[in-house]
Amino acid sequence: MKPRTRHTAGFTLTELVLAGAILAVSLGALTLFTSRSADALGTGALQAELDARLRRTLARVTDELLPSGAAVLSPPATAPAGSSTLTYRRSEGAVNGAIHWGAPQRLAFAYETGELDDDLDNNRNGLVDEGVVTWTRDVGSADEVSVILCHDVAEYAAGEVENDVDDDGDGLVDERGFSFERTSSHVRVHLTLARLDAQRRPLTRTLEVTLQPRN
Amino acid sequence: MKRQLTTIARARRGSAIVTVTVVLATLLLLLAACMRFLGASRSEQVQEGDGLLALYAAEAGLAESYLALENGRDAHVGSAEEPRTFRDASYWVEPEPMGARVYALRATAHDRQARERIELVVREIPDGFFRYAVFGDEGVSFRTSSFVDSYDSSLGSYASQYDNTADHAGEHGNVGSNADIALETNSQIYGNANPGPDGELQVLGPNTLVSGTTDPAEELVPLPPVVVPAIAATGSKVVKGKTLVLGPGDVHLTRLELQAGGKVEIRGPARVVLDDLLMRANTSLTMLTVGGPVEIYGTGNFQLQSNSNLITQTTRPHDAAIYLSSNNVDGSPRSTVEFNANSEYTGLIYAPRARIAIQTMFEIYGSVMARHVALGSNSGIHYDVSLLFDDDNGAPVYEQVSWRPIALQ
Repeated sequence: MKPRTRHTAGFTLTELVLAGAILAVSLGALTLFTSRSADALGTGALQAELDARLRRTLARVTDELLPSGAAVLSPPATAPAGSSTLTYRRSEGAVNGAIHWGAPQRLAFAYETGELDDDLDNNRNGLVDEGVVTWTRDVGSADEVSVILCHDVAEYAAGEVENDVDDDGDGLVDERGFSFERTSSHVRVHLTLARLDAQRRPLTRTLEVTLQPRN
Repeated sequence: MKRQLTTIARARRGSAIVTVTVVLATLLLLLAACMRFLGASRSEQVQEGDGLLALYAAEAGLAESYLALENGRDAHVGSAEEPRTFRDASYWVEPEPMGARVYALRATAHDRQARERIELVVREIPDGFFRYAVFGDEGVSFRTSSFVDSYDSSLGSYASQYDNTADHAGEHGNVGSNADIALETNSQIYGNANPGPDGELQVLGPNTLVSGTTDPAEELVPLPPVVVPAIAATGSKVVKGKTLVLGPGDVHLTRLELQAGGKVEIRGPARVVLDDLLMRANTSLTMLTVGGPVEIYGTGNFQLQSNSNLITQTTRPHDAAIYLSSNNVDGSPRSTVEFNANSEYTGLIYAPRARIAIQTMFEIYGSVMARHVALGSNSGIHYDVSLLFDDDNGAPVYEQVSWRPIALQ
């Protein structure tokens, strides 16, 4: 008679191997799931960050342009050329029954520091010829000051390439990632941001706003 | 041996708990990070939305205030203590006069945590016919040291607006013509001097002054004929050494002659048609506008000879008007028109077919528009800016001057 305790005291090698295999598969699946989740989360977070920056930048641009007026905007920036710069003045109230304009200010696309318009990634951040949105106050005066409102601006709007053709069908030819189009009363502002995600894949987000300067 | 197996089994059980704990912690961290992103994004969007709703509420308040202003009502909308509400938003508007017929409407709005404050400045759109201090269809001539400036009767008297340092009041005494404007020595215009599209500003002597623009007008200004009211004539009057009272109401005299000591008092509201007026020296004609406006229509001779007196008892030139359909240039018969009285006339003179000469002692607070106007030496015309606005022509209409966000209080 065989002692019964031998069968209940431990695991057979087969059981151990099977259990190990199941554990390895489970851990592998978990690792893969976690990795993909983190990747997706990272991409989602980057998208959310770009979207938030788009909203914030265009909200600031809107705040700047609303108290302006068609008479004090330049250049004309009409289609199909549009413009990547807009000089404007804001109302500072009324004096003797007439509007009083403040000093000229400017919103513009400019190349990122270290980046040149040469189709090369000069600053080695993975993006080519990317730019920034700059806001300059007191244009032309001794007190002129420029501030960067937003980084990671694509050189050209999403879907647009430099070929003298309106690739994205929005009426503007080869417009920049930050660009303006004016009609008689309205201004359309376009902003495209681009970044590389954790896998170094390009991620592009775009937002447009159309506003009517109130003066 | 049995003890060793038991130890291994315990260790396995422990490692499973650790593994599960690590996995759960990782998942929880991912979830927390995800929730934090979503929460931050949501919070930012809610804040943006509240800001936008506050801006819309402020705009709604401005629209309400603007409408009240155009309808002649109080432009206040709510107050800080008792704001207007719409769903979660509350708003109020405080109007502030910024001079004559200019208002700043300041709206404040809240929507939960967001606050917005914006300012709209509006001014009344000029709709009056008398937009010039002096206008001559066929020209305007300024003799030596003649003078034009402006004031605003809605802000007070001319004297109260006169600047002793600058030696003039306002600078809206605009002079216009469909032809030339000629300036002799020392004549001064505090305002624009705009000749007709094909006319020119002729400077005929030194020390002339035009404070505003001298560009030719872009288009001709039509002077419509005077429409004389159809009133049955009641004969003629000769007044000497006594007072004749006319009005209130409509009167038509074929001839009115005032001889020495004769006085005429016209009580408004009145429309008086005079086919032939002659005021000799030491006579007076008083336009009493307490009860209403007085309008005199001259259809033929209209002579205010030297040492006669034209008296107006009003501070508003809208209340007294002389309309002449007389033609002293090429009419048949040719009328005689003469303004040689000793007067400080507060009112309007409109004579689209007559040449008018304003003599030295005839000072006008209002406006003169005629076929041709000649201002005598040392004569003065003080244009009332309120004539730009025809208060009798329905509700005022306003236009936007400025819109801007302003600092929160």
